[in-house]
Amino acid sequence: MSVDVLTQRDPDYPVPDAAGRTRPVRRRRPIMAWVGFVLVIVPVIASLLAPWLATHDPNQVNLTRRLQPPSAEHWFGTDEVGRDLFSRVLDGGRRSIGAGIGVVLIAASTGIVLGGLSGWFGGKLDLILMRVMDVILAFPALVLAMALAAALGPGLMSSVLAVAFVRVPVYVRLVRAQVLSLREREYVTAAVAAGAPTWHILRRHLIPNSLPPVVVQTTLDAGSAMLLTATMSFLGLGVRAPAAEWGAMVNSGRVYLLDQWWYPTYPGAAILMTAMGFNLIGDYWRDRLDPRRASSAPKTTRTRP
Amino acid sequence: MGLGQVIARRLALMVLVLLGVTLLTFIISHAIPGDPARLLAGQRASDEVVAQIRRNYGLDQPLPVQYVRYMSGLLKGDLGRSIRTGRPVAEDLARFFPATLELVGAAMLLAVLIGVPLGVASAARNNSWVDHVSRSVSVAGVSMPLFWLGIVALAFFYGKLGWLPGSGRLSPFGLAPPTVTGLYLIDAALARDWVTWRDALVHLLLPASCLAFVHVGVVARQVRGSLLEVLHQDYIRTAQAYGVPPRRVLYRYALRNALVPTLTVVGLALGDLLAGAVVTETVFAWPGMGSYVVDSITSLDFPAIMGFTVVVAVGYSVINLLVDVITLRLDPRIRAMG
Repeated sequence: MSVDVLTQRDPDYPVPDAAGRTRPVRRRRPIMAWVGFVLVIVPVIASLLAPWLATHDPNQVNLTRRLQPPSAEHWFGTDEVGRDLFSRVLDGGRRSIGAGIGVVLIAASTGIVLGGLSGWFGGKLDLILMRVMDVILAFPALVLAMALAAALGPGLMSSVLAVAFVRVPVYVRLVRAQVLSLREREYVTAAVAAGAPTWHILRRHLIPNSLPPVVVQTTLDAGSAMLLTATMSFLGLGVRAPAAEWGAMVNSGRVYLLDQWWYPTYPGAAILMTAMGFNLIGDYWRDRLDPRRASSAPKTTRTRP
Repeated sequence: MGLGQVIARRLALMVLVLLGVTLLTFIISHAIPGDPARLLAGQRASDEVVAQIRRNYGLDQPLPVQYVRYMSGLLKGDLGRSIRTGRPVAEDLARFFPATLELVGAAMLLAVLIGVPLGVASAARNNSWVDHVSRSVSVAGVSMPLFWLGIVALAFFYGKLGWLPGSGRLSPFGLAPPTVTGLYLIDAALARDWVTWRDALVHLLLPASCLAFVHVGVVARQVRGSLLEVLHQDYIRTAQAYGVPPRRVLYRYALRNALVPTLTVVGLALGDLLAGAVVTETVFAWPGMGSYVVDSITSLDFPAIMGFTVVVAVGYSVINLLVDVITLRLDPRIRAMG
């Protein structure tokens, strides 16, 4: 492979021409972020409007119409007890997407509080909290979440809580790092000097200013949180029958895949589409926030002179 | 700080984390709804039997005492007894471990063998079609529900084309090779039993590829990123100015340095691969630790679930420590930064 990287146009490393001038390289427009937006917004709106868009009652059993292929009557076919799969995919989206969003909301708000306290007070509290976070991160996420959800008992809520628990350290570390750098800023030292109470400083200065990276992280996480909760449902640790949920639908459909391929295919495709959308949006926001990490030059440890 | 000191510090930190890991699993296993003694005794046991079990298992002792007992058991390799199989959990896990190791190892190998060249190609031709392909593979990989990918791959390669077998490690009447390592590919090769070797390989192909797919993109993006970073450093420009052939610059000068951060990513990916193995084994009926733990979840077999969790967490921590040490050996700059 012949390469001459130095003549390549790379927005993060402008190359001087013969006269020593650097020309700005035009950044590409965020087409992929828009694709991601569409991939997320379509299933979100479809699930929200499920009661109006669904062609059938998602839990209506009809044993005479079992395992029907997709047709004008049943767009995605029917399942083993004759329930309409299109309506169930719409209805299941509320739980699958809702679980993903619930997870990041719980994990992020817990992380903001703990990370803020840890970064601001430092000392013993910080030491203990960070070691606890290390312990949580010592488990592969799915494995710890499985054990927790099994202990919490069946149900979508316990799997959401379990997944949120394993995602908390990410936010604690993120917010703590932000607070550590913010607390040295002049406006914060000024507020301290003026005698502002701690909760005021945290609430008015530190937490709002550490939010942007948290927001980016939630978008990046929403997809993987959704995948994790769907995986738990697939393994039997999530919603209880007859409620529709994408991971659980793939699980109950997998025995039919050889002859009724549509049954596990549609709910799984819905997971892939939505997760991909969240990831595309998250990637774009991350690049916007930290240009050094832009897709053409991820951040790695730079050598020090 | 010398290498020895750094390693000693990491080791001390790891011991602390492992203590925390056991404490956390202990707390979870004692937070389960219902009475563990009742669970062990079964639904129809009399109250006397339950009380007897409670005494035998030390469940009537205060929690700190129970934790110390649990810890001393762990140190002796005692993970408790599985409710479902009636055997010690450690024995069960040891029996299923080789299958999981074979699957995860094969997937890791595939992810690196495909991911590294893909990353090199997309860094060398930044923003070319190769780069776009690797970017798409990466986004698809992190967004892919692994359990669904396995099912769709099964439907296609087994159901529709009939090219690959559907489940298990060997064909229904295939005999396992004489056990040396427990890895069928290696054992069969050692026994020069090429029929079994081929059978094991075709059974491994699909599950390992599905598991690898999720990680190929991650590896490729990391290689690409660190390679681009390295390629813009002065020593590369100097090498180019001296007329060193571009191939040599790329592979001998740049890639070596770029692979150091990649190693860390690969180490972290092992945890995900282990977790992914739980899902893959379920889909492909692969008789490993993952299928074992999923069956344990279905029957609320807590000793088995917690035993698996502890073993995986400890293994994962040790692997990451090893990766850290190797990284330190490879790159003195990191050592200097402490």
